[in-house]
Amino acid sequence: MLLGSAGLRADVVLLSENFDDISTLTGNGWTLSNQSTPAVGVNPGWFQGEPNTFAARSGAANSYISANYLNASVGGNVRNWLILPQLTVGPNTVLTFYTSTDTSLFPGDVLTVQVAAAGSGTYNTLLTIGDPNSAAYPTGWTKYSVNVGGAVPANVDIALVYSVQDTSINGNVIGIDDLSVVNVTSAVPEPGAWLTLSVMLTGVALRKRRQQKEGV
Amino acid sequence: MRNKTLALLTGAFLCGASLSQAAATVTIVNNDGPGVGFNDPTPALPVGGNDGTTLGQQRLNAFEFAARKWGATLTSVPTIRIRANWQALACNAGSAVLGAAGATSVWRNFAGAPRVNTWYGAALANALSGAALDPGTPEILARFNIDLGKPGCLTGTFFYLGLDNNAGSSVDLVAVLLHELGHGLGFQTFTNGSNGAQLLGFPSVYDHFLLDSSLNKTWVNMTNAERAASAIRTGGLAWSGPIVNDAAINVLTPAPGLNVTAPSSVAGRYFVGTASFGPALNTTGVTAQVMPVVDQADGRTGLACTTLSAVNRVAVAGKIALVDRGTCTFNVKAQNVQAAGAVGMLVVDNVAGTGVPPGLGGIDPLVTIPSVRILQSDGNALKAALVTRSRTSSPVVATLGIDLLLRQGMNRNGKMLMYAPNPFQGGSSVSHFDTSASRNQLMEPSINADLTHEVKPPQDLTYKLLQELGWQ
Repeated sequence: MLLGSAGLRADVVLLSENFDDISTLTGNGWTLSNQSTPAVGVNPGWFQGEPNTFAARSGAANSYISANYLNASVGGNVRNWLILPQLTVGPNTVLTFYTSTDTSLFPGDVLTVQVAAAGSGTYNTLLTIGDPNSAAYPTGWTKYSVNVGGAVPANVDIALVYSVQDTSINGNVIGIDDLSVVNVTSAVPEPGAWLTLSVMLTGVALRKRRQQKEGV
Repeated sequence: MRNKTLALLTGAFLCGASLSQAAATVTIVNNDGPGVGFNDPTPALPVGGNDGTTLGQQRLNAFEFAARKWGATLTSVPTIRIRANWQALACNAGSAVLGAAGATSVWRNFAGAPRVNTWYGAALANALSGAALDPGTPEILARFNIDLGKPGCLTGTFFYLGLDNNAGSSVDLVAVLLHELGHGLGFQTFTNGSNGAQLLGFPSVYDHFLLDSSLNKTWVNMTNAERAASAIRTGGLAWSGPIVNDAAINVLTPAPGLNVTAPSSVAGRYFVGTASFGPALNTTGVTAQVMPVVDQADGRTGLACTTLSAVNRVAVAGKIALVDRGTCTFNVKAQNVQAAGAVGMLVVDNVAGTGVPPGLGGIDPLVTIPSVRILQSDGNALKAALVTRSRTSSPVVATLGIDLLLRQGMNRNGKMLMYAPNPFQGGSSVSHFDTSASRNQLMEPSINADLTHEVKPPQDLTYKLLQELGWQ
C-alpha cells in the first residue's frame, strides 16, 4: 500500500502485510515473542483477528492480527512483541498501520513502535498509542505513520509492542491491520498521515525526530 | 452367552412344538425337567390375555407370544429353534439377572455368508445360507431366572405373565423374552470384551459395526488391547451402521444440547446435563456468545460462588456464562451470573467424564436462566477457544436448548451409543444399547417399565440392528 500523495513520487514498498493468515508471518521473517511477566497467560501470543470482537479494516473479517490482556497471567504485565522482518531503512522510510480496540470501557492498552539497530536489541520508542492509565486507545480503525529511518541507510529491527500493566483490571484487546513500510521519495509523509497526536509525549517525540532530520 | 460351549447343556424333556408361522418359524425346545420351569404345575389364574392354567403353561404362552413376534418380523427358511429352560441365575435382594441367551454355535465362510472370515450366530447363518447348517442342534439357547421375586432375589418383584404389556411394577416376561431372543438372533459379539480377543482369531459380524469414536476405528480394525479399552469407554463406543442410525433419528428423543456455531475449531454439538432448577430447555433455545467467569489465580477457572467482580459482570452481561463446578452449589452460581445479566449458564465439570454429563441438582425458584453441566473435556475445549476473547465479546457463539439434531442415546455424530460401562460387565457390556437411550430400547441392559412389545421403529431399533447384520 502506498501512502496517499498529491504529488508525483516513486515510493518503494519495502514491506506490506494485511495479516490474512498470521501463521505465515514467522516463515516470512517476522518474530512473535510474548515476554509478559511474571508469566505468559492463558493466551500464549498474537492471534488471528476475531470477527466477533471487530472486523478487519480490509479483507476477510478476521484478516488482522490481535493481542489481548490474556497474554499475561492474571495481574501480570503484558509485553508482547511483534517484530518485522529486518529491513534496510533510509531517511524517509515510513511505517504505516491501522489499529483499534473494541471498547473504551477498559484502560491500559498501549502499543509502541520501537526501532533498534539490527540485532542490537537496544530499542528506541518512536511512537506510543494509548495510555497505561486511561482508556485512550482508539475504538475504531485509526491510521498511524512514523518515520523509522535514520540519517543514513541502515539495517534495523522494527517492533510493535503491545503492553498492559496489571491485567487484573487493565487491558483489553488490540488489532493491527494493513501495515506497510515504504521508502518515500519526498521529504516527509503527507501531513494527513500524522493523524493522531492525542498522546502528547508521542507528538513531541515525533516532532523532535523530524527536527533532527531536517537538521541533517 | 458368547460361545459354543452352551451347546453342551442337555435337557431331559425335549419337546419341539411349532409356535409361530410367519416369515420365520420360531420354536421352543423345552429343556426343563418335570415339574420345573415351563413344566411347573402350580395353578395360575388367567392374566393379561394369558389363559394358561398353570405357571408352566403361562410361561410357555408368553414364550410363544414372543416367538410369534420375532417370527412375524424376520425371514428365515430354516426353522429357528430355541432351547430354553428356567434355572437359578445371579441375583440378590435388589437386582437380578432376568435371563440370558445367545447362539449355540457360530459359523463362518458358509455358503451365502456376506462377509468372509466373520462369525455369524447359528440362526442368522442358517437364514443366510437357506438351510440349517447343523440340523441336529437348536440355534439359540435361553435361560430364565426361576427365583425371581423370591426372598433374596429381587424380593417381591415377580415376572408378569400377561401378554398385554401391562406389567405395572412387575417385570414383563414377554419383554424379557423378546430381549433374550434378540441376543440369540445376533445382537451380541462373540469377541471377548474384557481382553479383546476374537473367537479363534476371527471377528463377529457385530464387530464390523462397533465404532470407537476416540480411535475412529471399528472393532475389526483394532488390536486386542484397543478392543478391551474400547469396551469400557463409556460414551465412546457406538454403532456405525446406517440402518440403525438412520432409523434412530425417528425413534429416539431429541436431546438437550449446546450447539456451538463458532469458531470452527470448536463448532459442533455438545451434550449437556440439565438442571433441576430454572426454566426447562426448549427447542428455540438461547443463542448468545459464551463468556467465562474467571475468579481464580490460574486465569482459567471461575467458581462464581460470590457476587461477580466488575470485569466479570461486564463480561457475562447478555452472554451465556461459563463457570466451573466446585465450592458452592449450582444454583448459587446460577444466581450470581444471573445477577450479572447472563442469559444462561454452562457449568464445566471438575472431574473427567464421557457421554452425556450428569445433571445439576438443586431447587431454586429465584433462578430464571437455563443452566446445564458440560463435560470437563468439552469445557476445556471451549476455554481454549475463549482465550482470544476481549473483555466484552467472545469468539464462541452457541445455542443452548433442545437440539433437534441430537438424540438421547446417540453420540454427537449421530451414532447409536453402545453399552460400555467401566469396569467391564461380562454378559452385558458391548452387546446392548447404552442406557442413555430414550425412548427406552428393548436391547438396553435393563428392562425398563415403559417398553412396548415392538421390535421395530417407531418404537424400537432391535430389528434394525439385526437387519444391519444381515437379517431380512
